[in-house]
Amino acid sequence: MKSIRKVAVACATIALAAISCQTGPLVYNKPVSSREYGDPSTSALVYGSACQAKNALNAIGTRTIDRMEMVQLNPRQKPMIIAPGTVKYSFYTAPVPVGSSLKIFYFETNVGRVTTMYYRGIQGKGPADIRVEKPGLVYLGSLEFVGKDRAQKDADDGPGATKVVFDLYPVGAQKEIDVLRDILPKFKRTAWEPLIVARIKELEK
Amino acid sequence: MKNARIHVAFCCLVILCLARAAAEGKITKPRSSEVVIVARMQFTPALDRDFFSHYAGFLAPYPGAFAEKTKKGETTSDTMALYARDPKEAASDIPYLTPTSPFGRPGDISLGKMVIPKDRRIQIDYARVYVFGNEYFYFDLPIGRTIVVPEGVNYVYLGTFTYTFENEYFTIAGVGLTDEFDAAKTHVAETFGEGAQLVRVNLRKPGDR
Repeated sequence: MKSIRKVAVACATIALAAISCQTGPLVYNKPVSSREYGDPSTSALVYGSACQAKNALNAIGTRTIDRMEMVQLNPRQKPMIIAPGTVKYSFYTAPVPVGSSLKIFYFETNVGRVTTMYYRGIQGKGPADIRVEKPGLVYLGSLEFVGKDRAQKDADDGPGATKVVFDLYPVGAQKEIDVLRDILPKFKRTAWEPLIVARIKELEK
Repeated sequence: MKNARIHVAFCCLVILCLARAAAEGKITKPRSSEVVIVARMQFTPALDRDFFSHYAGFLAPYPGAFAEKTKKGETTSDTMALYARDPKEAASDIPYLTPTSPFGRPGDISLGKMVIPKDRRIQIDYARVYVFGNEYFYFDLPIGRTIVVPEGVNYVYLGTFTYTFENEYFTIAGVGLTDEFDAAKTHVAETFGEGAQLVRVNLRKPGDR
């Protein structure tokens, strides 16, 4: 009896672990089912991967970026708060209307038991913030949370002064094709499936 | 990376202060060790309040954490916090002076009360606007000037700062500074009594002596 219980607990733990590596996409903090997804002719599927830069602190364990939240800032388009769905490091949004201006205003990093919450605000178009100009698949890139020098427009320390700015930059090592393979199951039997399959074939060449 | 956590801690502290002060109502007279910083912060184009009202109910980044629309007639205005610090402490971990009052609303003449540092120099970095008072949706109005509070002075006037945003991401195209001293003086007298003396102060760039 004891050994069966052990196996059951092990199975449950594995299942939970598997589930915790995946979350579904949210809009206004409510789950969106794939049946409600917008059409590829009028909306864009924004996808990519996001992780923390490798360093001594997170050498062991995952480097995921969690609870990413985007806000739509174009007052002439539909207001939306979007939490991308995740599959390990890969993320994908429920399709957003063309004309949306997205801004990542929040995310978390977890290193061991320490959670750091990044309140980014709604100001400034960062390297991972995007204006959706065309419908279809939109690849944000392999984002990594790193510090980079960014020129200061009005640095009081003199012309050419820069400061290290931490932000999500598209400099990560994950490949677009792996992201697409991760998210394809989430779009089965939707109008997006053929687009994703076609793009995977393109990248396979 | 260090700054992020401190920013969060400070934001929470500011929100608590704002909430407390809002609950208490009016701003109270400054102690002799405190100064009230007076300025008007405004920006153009104005916020599309109808559009942003959809975001006011965002509570936290968890499923379900969204408040229902506020009751009819209940308007929540934007709030502001003034980020100012003792320039001597700039290199340390917790650089910002804790405000003892919130900084009013954009467009109004704002009164921000804080403790005067020992050497009487205050570096005013920016005013942070929280849209609909929501801590997640903020943008900054940079000031970047240092003031010296003269002895015996408890009310200092900075000016009217007008920011122009060039796009939907609140990217700042330009800042204008105008003088509305008389209106500010009247407002200070109305709020704190005739004995409250408002003085102009020089806005020094960091690095100026």
